[in-house]
This record gives sequence, structure tokens and C-alpha cells, in this order.
Amino acid sequence: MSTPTETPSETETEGGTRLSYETRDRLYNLALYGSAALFSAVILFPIYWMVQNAFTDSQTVITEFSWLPSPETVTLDNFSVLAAGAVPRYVINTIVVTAGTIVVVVAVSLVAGYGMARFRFRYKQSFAQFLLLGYMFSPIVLGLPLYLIWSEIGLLNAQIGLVIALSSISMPFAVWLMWKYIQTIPESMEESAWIAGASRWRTFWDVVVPQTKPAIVACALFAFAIAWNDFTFAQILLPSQESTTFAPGIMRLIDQGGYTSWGDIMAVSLLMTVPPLLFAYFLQEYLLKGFEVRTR
Amino acid sequence: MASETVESTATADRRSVRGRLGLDGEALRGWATVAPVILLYLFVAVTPIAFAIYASLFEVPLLNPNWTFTGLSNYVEVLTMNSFWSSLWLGALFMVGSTVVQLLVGLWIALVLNQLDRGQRFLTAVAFTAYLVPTVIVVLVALFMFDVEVGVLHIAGSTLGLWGERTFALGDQTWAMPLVVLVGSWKFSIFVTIFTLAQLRAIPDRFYEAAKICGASRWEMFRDITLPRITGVLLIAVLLRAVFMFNKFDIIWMLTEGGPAGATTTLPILAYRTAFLHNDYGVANAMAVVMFVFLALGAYCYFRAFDPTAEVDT
Amino acid sequence: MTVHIDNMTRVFDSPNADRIVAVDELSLTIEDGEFLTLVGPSGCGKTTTLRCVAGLDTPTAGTIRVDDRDVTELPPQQRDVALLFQDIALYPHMSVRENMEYGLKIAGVPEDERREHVAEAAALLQIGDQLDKMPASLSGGQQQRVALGRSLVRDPSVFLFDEPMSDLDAKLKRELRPVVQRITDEIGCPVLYVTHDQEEAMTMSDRIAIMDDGELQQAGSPKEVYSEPTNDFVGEFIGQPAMEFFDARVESANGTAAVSMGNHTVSLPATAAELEGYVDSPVRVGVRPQQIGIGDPAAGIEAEHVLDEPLGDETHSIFETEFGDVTVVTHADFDGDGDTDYGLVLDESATQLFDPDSGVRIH
Repeated sequence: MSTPTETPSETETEGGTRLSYETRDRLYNLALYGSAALFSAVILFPIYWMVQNAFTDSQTVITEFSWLPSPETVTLDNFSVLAAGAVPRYVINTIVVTAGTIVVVVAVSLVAGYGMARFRFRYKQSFAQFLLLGYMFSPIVLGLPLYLIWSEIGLLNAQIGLVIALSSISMPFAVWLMWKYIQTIPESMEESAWIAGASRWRTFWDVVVPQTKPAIVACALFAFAIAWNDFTFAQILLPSQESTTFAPGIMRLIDQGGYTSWGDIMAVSLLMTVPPLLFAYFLQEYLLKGFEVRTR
Repeated sequence: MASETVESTATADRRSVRGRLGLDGEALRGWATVAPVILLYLFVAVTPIAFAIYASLFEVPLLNPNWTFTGLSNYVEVLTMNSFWSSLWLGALFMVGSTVVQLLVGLWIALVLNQLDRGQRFLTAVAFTAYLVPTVIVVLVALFMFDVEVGVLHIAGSTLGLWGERTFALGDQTWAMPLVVLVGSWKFSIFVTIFTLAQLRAIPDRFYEAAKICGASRWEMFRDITLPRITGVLLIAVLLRAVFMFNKFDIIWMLTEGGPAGATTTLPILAYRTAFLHNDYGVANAMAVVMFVFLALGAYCYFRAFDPTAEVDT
Repeated sequence: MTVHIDNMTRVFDSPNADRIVAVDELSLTIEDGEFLTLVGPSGCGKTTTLRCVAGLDTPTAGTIRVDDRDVTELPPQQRDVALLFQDIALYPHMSVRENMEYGLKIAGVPEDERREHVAEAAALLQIGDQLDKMPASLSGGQQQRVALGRSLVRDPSVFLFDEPMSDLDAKLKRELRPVVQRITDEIGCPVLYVTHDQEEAMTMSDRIAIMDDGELQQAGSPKEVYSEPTNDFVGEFIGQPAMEFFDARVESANGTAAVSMGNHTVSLPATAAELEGYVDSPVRVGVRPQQIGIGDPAAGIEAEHVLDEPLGDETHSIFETEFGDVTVVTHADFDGDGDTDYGLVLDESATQLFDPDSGVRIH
């Protein structure tokens, strides 16, 4: 009874009759590298398309379709969008908000992470739990009520208000990372500095902060990504055209129909994409460290 | 001996007396260091949610300072709105569609990355790039690529007969929702990859070597070694993606503003429209409360499924 | 400077268990220029004591004084102590020079003066050519030298060591011991050195204090604690290999005392009167393995040879007796034979008697 059922499975495991071991290996590698090529293409093509059109004469962009850039139409003119109009203001606003968020996130999370790692206090566990709840904050849920609160206390249309909101949603990651990172620094180094006469604060600056650099960079990158990426909070909390950041600003321009030069849009898109890529490239070691702690 | 000593010197027991009150210098300093975080949370999360619950009990015309207390009638209004139920349905569609696509693609990329002998660094860099491109840029490029005049994807789709030559795909009843899901997944799939990859790399090679010696096929190794190891982390990723996607606002709003004719109006879009376009802030806050309840349920499941505070050492 | 520890107690609260008494009414004085070693098994409270002296921990009760100044509650910054940590604790982001001059920098010493101090210390420690390196590129022994130098340049009024050599291998330890002694002599302040290694304690100290379970057992010169332990714990802890113990009974014959262990009797160099109260009572006899000879089965405690551990200059031989396994230090050429019956002969002048209940030494 059992013989007929066993035969096919045997041939399969030994790979004798149907497909040789080499063939299956080749097929497997084909699927593997085929997938890799497919993903690369799907991810890279839109980026290529953006870059190509950013450097193409804006008239050509909307009239002719071409897979490859042609030398006659290559131009830097599209980047002049940064010289006039509303776009430069949006970009500057984004830079201001992002810088502010990075400063607040790093400062607050560094101090809190140090406190969590080095002081014993009651309800620390509850605080950690409370902290993690922050992963559940959603800009749209918080943004709707914040709109009226911010307008009551005068933070509506103020970039500091956006900085506060963005910093808050970055906290769970940043504090957790700092906390776990500072725990890996031996306490005896601080004690050694205290004994040498350094105050707790000075020791924090001289001994703890320099050694926390990877975590600081990871937190700064994370805050950068949150702020640079934000649309929802800025859309709700910065309704005025003067104060708003790039994402809501450009969407409103397009909405009003006043802006359809794809060449210009691709040029500024490219410029907004470069900083995160550059940071990630130069600081990838730190970035991976940060993700490692997080996914643990 | 020892306990006698403690009793007799109880008054001199400087530390623990204050310690028991939780007020010694160390605890105070500890709380001081985390105070800014607590303040931020109170300011940006706790207050708004409390305020949303409060405001949801009033009729609040945005431009009018006079609030009228209406009790639960905002909730009744929300629950009887056709658009609420349709947005819930569309939201579920968007959530499930996005989560499934992101899970499959993200897991696939992770498995491929883990197996590649050559080009691993390159593909990692490429995958991260998608995650790093700001959402608004993803949207702008997508709008450009679906442009009816010169959009490369528009032309590709109409050549294949998916949509008409003059049809803006993102403005098409049938295509808007799937395309929004796909554009979002282009950026967010890598989230699942990052989650999974760390876990995959933590599986020791000797497990696979032992399986190979037993003659296991690649599929059997995946089923018996890899999959059980990553199920936990996949569940977390699915939960987080589902919760985030249910509350996703930016990419949908920027791509379609909820259109065409409400075809992509999920709950966050409806709440935003209700507040700022229909001027009905109280009802919008009732919707925010509903979304918050969903988030809280997600958080509860998250804490139950995987206790993150287990690693808290005091 | 003299350090006085008076009746110091340190109790730790633990949320789940009972309170832990880490140090129990410890009183100890470290004279100026004295090298005092605090030794004991792990968990005996020696490190807690050291941390209280450093100011990194505060005693629950009792006082710590330096000369006439009460420092019990002073923070570590105001104590002018130096501490060498077990994990060395060099700052990885500072060069060797920056590590060594950090204390002076805090104290506001001008730069050229700092350089001078560092150069002097580095010369003394033979690390002059390492000053511009980063700590991570140094070997463990060199790192410990840098840490010593860091303390040396500050010229502290009390020098503390927290098991600084426990992570080093035996050869490096032997190399560093004289360096530590030279440095502490140079500074000439009271030194409190904590270790669990009795050999380190014996070779380096002016005085050894042995702690067990939070309580001080004995304090005295290395020779004193070796030859006149106050109790069986000290007897066993100090000396290598550890002291052997036999259950015995005191007998008196014509005014001279003897102890009988099973069938074997050893007469003691003491009169029965000196052992008042213990005659015809059980005692524990302690003998160092160096003071046990090998003879005929009739001449000593019957023993069966188990194994030899040749060390080159001597051999540690292990025998099985009715009192359990006994280690004996034998001649380097000794080669035990499992089929021969041996007798272990105790050197009567070197036997020590301990109370079987309290462990206190009687004679």
C-alpha cells in the first residue's frame, strides 16, 4: 500500500527524474536574481524618471515623451524655481521646522534617556509603557483637536507649534533608543569622573554625551525623517501660505491650478529627495544601529 | 543579628526612609529628566484627545466661538451618516489592501535580500531609498507619471487598455483606490523588510546546515525553520501597518483628496473634510474619537501580543 | 591622612526579598601610608565598603572620617580620593593623555602644568610613548597602567582599588603588583585595596582585613592572619592550598593535651590547663597542607592516594581519608601509588584548634 505513495516523494527529494539538482539550483537563482532585478527596477524607475525630467527643458517635458534624455533638451533651468515664487519660502520653512525638531528631539531624549538609564525611581516601568503608547499617536487624530487648541493659545501658524507636535511623535523611538544605548555605557566611567571631581552635569557632558554619539545621530536622523516627511501636521497646524512647509505648500499651489510645470516640480522634488539620501548614505552605520535597537 | 541592627538604627536609616516616600534626591532627579517628555505628551497627546472627547459633545462651527452642548448627538449623527459607513468600508479596504501588499512585498524583499550572495548592499541601498523619499515627493512623481498628457504610467496603462486615453487614472472610480494602495506600498513595504530582516539574520546558519544534511529542500527549510522564526515579528508588523494605514491621511489626501466622488474617502479624509470644508468641528472630533478608539484597540493588541516592557529593568 | 570607618552598616532595600545587610557594623582604620587589603568571597560586602569610602554609596548607619573630617555624607567629588575600577573605565573617546589629565583639568590646573604631571607619571609607569594613543588600542595591562597614572597625577589623599586585576592573566598580575606598590608608595596616602584573591592580598599588603557575610573577621599583618587566624573561616580563606580540617576530640593525659582523630592521636604543645573547657569535648583541628607529612599507615591518619598535581617545585597530592579528601603538599618527586596505604602525619607544632560551633580559634 505504502509503496506507490512513497515513490513520487522519493524521486522528488532525490531530484532524480523530474529536475536535476543543477537545474533546480539554476531556476532558484533565476528567481532570486530576477526578483532582485524586478524590485530594483520598480523602485529605481520613478527616481530615474524624476531625475531625467528635472534636467529636461520644461517645455519638452510636457510635449514630448522620451525614455532617455537627449543632449539638446538637457538644462538646469528648472532649478530656477528655487529662486523666485513661493517654493523657496516653503523649502526654507521646512528646513527651519526640521532643524528645530532635531534639536528638541535630541535634547529631550538625551536627558530623558540618561535619567531612565541612571536614576532609580518608582513607576519607571509605567513611564516606559506610557512612552510606548506614543507609537500609536497618529497625526490626523491629534491634529484635528490640536487645531483649535493651538489657535486658542496662539501656536497656530507658528512653526514652533509644529516643532512641538513633531517632536512629540518622535519621542517614543528617540527616548527608548537613548535609554537602551546609555545602558550599554559602563557606569564606572561616570563614577571615575565624579571621583576626579567632575560634577554630575559636567560628567554628563564630558563622559556620557561623547560616547552616546551613535544614538544621537540615529535620533537626529529619525527626527529629520519625521519632520522632512510630514504633511498632515503642517497642513492642519500651518494653514497660512507664509508659514507652511514644502509638502502642504506645493500641494496647495498645484490644487489652485497655478502650478503645472512638471519640469519645475521634478527639479524641486529632486532637491528635496537629496538630503535624506545623503544623510542616510553617510550615516548608514548609525542608522542601522538605531534600527537594530528598535526592532529588538 | 542583622535585623536587630536595622531596627536599632532605623532613625539613622537615611536613604530608605526618604526612599520609601519616593522623594529622595535620586527619584526627584529621575523624574526631572523625563519631565519634558511627559510635558510634551500631555501637551500634544493627552490634552488633544481629552479635548476631542469634550468637543465631540458640542456643536462647534469652526469660525464661531459659540459652542452649543449637544450631548451624544454628534455621535448619533456620525453613526447615521452614510458617508461615515462608506468611509469605514473604504478605510477597511485601503487598510487590508495596503497591509497585504506591503506584507507580501516587504517579506519577499527581505527573503531575497537575505539570500543574495552578490548585490546585497546595492539592493539594501535601493530598498532604503524608497523609504527615504519623502511622501510628498512620492506623490508628486506619481501625479506626474499618471498625468494624462505625458505621464509614463498613464501612457503604459492606456496602451495596455487598462484605462482610456483621456482618463486620469487617479481620478477614475475603479482605479483610484488600487493605485493609492500601490503608490503607498511603493514607499512603505520596506518597513516590513526592516522588521523582518533583523530577525532573519539572527537565525544561525547551523540550523540550515543541519537541515541540509537531513536532505531538506529549500521550501521545507523555509517552512520549518525560517517561517516559525519570523511569524512573531510578522504579526507585529501586520498589526502596526494595519493601525497606521487605518489612520493614514497624507498620501491619500495628496493623491486624490478623497475623490473621485468619494472613492478614496477613508475615515481620516472624511474627518478632515468635515472639520475644514464642512465647518463641523464637533462631528469631526467625534470621528477623531472613533479613530482613537481604533488606535487604542490596536495598542492593546500590541501590548498583549508582545510585551515591550518586559525588557524594562528598573 | 587616616581613614576611620566606625560602626558602618549598609542595608539594601530589595523590593521582592528581605532587606540585604551588605555591611554589618564594620569598624576599621587605615593609617597614613598604610596599604590595607580588604579580602573575602564575593558578596561579602568588601566592594560596598569601598564604595562608601569613595562616596559612590552612602552608609545606612555609622560614620567614615578622614582625619577629623566626617565625610560620611559627602559626594564623591569632594572627597579627594582616587579609585581604580575593575573594568578600568578609561574614557574611550579621549586619548591616553586626555584620560590622565582629566582630573587636573576639572581642578582647573593650567595646561603646561598638566602636561608636566602627566609626563612624570607616564615615565614612572613606562607608558611615555603611549600618550597619544586611544585606550582601545592598548593591551589590558597597559590600560591598567594608564588608569594608575590617572590616579597618580591627581595625588589623592586616599587611594582605593576595586579588584583592579581580576580581569588580567596571572603573568600580567605579577608584573603589575610591584608597579601598584611603587605608585602607592610614591603617593604615600592610605590605600584600601579590595580583592577576592588572597595571594594578591598576602603579597601586597601591610595589613589584611578579611570580611565574610558583611562582617569583619580579622585584621592584621599578612603573617599574623596566616599563622594566627581568629577563626576557621580566616584559616581556610588565607593560604594556598586551603587549610585542612579534621573533626577531633581533646584528650588529657598527665597534664599534657592531645587530640584524637579516629584512631590517630596527636599530642599538642599545650597543657590541659590551657585548653580549659575543651578537654573531652569535640574540636576541629586545622592544619595547612604544607604541614602534613606522608608516612606509614600506622604513624598517621590512614589515607588512600587519589591523585597528584605536580607543580614543578612541589606537588599537591590528594588523599582520601575518613575525614574526606585531604590535600597535602608533597615533594616535587613524590609519585603516589593507589595500592599503597599511607598515613598522614600532622606537624603537631603547627596544628590549630577551632571551636566546632563558633569556629573561633582556641589554640
